Amino acid sequence: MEFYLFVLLNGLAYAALLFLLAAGLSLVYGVGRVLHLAHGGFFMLGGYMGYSLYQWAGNFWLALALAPLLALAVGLITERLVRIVYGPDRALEQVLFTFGLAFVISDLTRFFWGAQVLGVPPPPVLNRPMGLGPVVYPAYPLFLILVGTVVALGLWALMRFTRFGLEVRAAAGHPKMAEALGVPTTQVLRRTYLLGVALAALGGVLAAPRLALAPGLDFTMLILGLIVVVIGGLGSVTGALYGALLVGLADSLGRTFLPQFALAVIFLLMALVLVFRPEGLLGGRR
Amino acid sequence: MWALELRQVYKSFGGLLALAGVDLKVPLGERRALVGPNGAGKSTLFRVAGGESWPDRGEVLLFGRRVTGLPPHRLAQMGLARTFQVASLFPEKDVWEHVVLASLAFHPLSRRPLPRRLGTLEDQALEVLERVGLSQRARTRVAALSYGEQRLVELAMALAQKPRLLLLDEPLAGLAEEERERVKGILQALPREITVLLIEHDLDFAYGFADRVTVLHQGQVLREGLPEEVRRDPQVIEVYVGKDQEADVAFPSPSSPHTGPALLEVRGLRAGYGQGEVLRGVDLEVRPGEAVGILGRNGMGKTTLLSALMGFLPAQGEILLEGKIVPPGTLGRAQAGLALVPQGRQPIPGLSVEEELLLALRPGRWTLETIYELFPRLKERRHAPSTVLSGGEQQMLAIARALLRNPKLLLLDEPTEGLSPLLVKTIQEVLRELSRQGESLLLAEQNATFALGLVQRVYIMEKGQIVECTEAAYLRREPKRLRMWMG
Amino acid sequence: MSRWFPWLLAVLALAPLLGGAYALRLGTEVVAWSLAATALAFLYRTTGLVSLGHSAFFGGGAYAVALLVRNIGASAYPFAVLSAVLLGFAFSLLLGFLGLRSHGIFFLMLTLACSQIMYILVKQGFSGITGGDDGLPGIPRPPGLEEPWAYYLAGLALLLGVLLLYRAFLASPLGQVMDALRQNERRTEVLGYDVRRLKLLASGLSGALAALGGAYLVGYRGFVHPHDLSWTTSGLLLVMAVVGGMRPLSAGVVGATLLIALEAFLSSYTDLWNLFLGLFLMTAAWTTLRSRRATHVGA
Repeated sequence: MEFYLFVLLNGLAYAALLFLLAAGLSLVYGVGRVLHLAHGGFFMLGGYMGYSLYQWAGNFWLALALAPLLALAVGLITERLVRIVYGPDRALEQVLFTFGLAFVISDLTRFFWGAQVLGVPPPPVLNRPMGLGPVVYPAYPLFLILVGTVVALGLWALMRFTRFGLEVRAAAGHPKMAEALGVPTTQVLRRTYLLGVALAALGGVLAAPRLALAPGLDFTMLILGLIVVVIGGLGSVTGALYGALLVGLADSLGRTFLPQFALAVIFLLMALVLVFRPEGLLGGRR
Repeated sequence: MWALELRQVYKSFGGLLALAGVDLKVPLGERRALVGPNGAGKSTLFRVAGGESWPDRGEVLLFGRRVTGLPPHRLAQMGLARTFQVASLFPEKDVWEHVVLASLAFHPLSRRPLPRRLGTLEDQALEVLERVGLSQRARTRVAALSYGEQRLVELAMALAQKPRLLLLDEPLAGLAEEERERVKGILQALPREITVLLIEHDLDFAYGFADRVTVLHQGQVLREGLPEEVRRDPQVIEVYVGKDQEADVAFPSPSSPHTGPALLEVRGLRAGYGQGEVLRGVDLEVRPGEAVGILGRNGMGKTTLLSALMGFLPAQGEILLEGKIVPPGTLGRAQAGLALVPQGRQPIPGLSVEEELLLALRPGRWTLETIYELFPRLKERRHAPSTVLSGGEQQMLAIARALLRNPKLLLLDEPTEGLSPLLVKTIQEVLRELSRQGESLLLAEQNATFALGLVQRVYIMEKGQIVECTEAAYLRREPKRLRMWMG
Repeated sequence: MSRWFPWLLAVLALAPLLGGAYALRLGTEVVAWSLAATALAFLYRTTGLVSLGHSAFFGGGAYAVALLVRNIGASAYPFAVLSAVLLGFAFSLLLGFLGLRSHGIFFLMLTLACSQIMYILVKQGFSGITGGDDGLPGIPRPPGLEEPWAYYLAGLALLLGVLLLYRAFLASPLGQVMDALRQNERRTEVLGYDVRRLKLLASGLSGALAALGGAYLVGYRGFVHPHDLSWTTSGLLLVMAVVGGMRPLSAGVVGATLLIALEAFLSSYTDLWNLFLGLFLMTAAWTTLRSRRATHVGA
């Protein structure tokens, strides 16, 4: 019985990380109609920056707070560039451009941090087992689940109750009309992009104690992020949440019972959704 | 056997019922014109007849055979050819290749994977080009052709298919005078074996060309019969021009004569889509507190005019608001004080009624409270998603959110399209009230009587230009003059 | 194509024969990748579909040949290559079938998903047969073509043949119809052409050609590796096709040559090969965008 609980909790913790990555990816698509293939790079960048900050400051929490800000600085530059390929009917150019950007980030990261596997220990307060009734489970993944929940709620509140959220939804729903009503869509897009980058980087730092920081992480995470947003529905934060939960749990279950085919099954799910319900299981925007 | 038959066809898009039980029977060899105001469902009917859309309910029969649910290419094989309202061509190919492709369609040659001589097909293609008058331009890439020539290519392709039934979607729209004459000649000279179904807003031509006319209104067949009968039918006239309302009382007469500097000045506005130029040098002005109407039939450029003013498409010429040139993009113009009530209402998916209103809100006379007073229905429905509202409610929302911009000038594009007569009356009252309160309005409308009931001055547009500018009162007194322009 | 172009091509093509073992190796790689990149460009040229999953056919073709030749022997080469091509055609038909229901970015991701499934199945799922992470080594050369120069010449002949066929196809009625399909699918269908069948045919041919490229590669290289099925391979093929211009006949060849040459050149100077590739891609995207805006007609 406790075995299944572990599988569940592992899946949820993974889902939290996936959500942080996918939420931004989904939002940027919703508002700018661009699939930001360099998003995995920001996740990885966040992780590496977190590593360096930790080495410098010796404090995990500081690294957690500062890494997303540093990533934001990079994001300010890349947003200017990605703006060139915003818009529908530009799949080819978007793939090329954001792919190219991903390669640039990938190599620069390798240049600065090298190719060996790096790691960050969880902060001492979380680096211990927790008692969950009769069962014992490490604290850190529970912390991840907590963070994921808080971020999900926060994003939901942001979208529902703030002016920014309203403008994001308007720009995603009907960009032309939104602009005719005074919504500065270019600015909205820029802020959405930066939000996405910050979330991805946050995910990267949080992931550092659990996953290995090594070249290739960016593309691995990107693929998973794509699966999540496709399944959940491009353009929707709730879609990213459900997609992340589904993929996280499927991955955890798969690893346990069908290790050789786990990932293949997830891809199959993605393919099926693309064929039969391209707007995602939740039916995202148009 | 009928060439084309539609039996109780229903078709809806999103929440809108475009065709509501249409029955149509076109006999072999007949020339039928399909007319009706914007939003009546004509284009949808063509799509269904052409196999591009499948009806929700009902049957489509082509030459007596059931074709409901078949893809377009099967219908083409049975002898159906159509032209599109906006030329749908192959940008990188030349005129010759277009016509050859059209003739090649059901020929076994089309499956040859190695180069082959085309023999008689080439002669046929030449002949069609000659008929249409494009033989000189045969080797020109269509991207380099004028808009009128592109439409001629559309026609040539349709003819090259050797059709038994020809569906023509506004073949004269957007053409220069000389090209119009040419097309009219070609159409008149079509052999009688070909059945023709024609959508056209040039009612003179349509009535002259057709054997019978079908009038569509709000997705249903309103009237069908001989051209002269239909033309004089009071119901048809009402649908196009609007009901002569006896009850129309005191029209809003300006409390002060509208003098002083103009609020909006437009000079020499030219704009178009792709190759076609729709606006050919438009001049107009709106003075502060004035309600001005732009009348004209469909396809004459009214929507393009408002879209250009709002910055949705690039345009040449001058647009001045309060004496200053307006910024180039939509956002800039919205901030400068222009607000648009767009054609088709355009609610924003994902937002509730109140959210749309809050989104639009700018400081000024209109607030959320005053808007709710004006539109109590919106207050009732304020938490509903804007897309599930009825047509009339959406129209009120569109007006409300434009008002909440507290604009200097309110642009309205066909606000009565697709609305029941009762709602039309309601909207008219709302707009009259706004005008009374001193709002400046620029209204583009097809329904002339509606417009005349609330504006002071009228511009009439014909083929992308202003052809007349009079006081609304004058046109009210001289309905014959109005009929002349509105058909 | 200007007059001196074919001569230039001939010079470039024959250069590796004089250049030594390394040049010959590069040349052979170029031929293999050219075939696959041309296949991708062909698919786009005829249907407008962009695939990020062609590694499934490229790598798949390689694996098919590797497995057959390993188990039966070098004499099985003709049979193996034919099988690879037919399998490529068949699987590509399947993909094309799926592609009928999606387009644009969705199709792109669908192809990615499908090729990833194959990658994982080969790498982990059925690693017993496929050699898993290590791949399959020890594939012999085809009989008669053991010499590198002979193999290369055979490849050149193959590539030339393929390009000539491609050119003939484009000039044929069927090819013209397919080209029309890319330019305006709706119009083509309304004129009476069975658009679905055409798309399927184009998919099948594209997969078959890519598989041929993979078969050619493994015959020279002597081993096959799951990396040949990875999505980075797909990405590289797409980049090659785009850099070559997508539309021209020579797109695949130009792209493959440029990229392989670039990698060979840069990797001797710097470790940051991907960085420059990335910048290259970004520039290519920008220029593609600008040239696309120039060809817009109607509305």
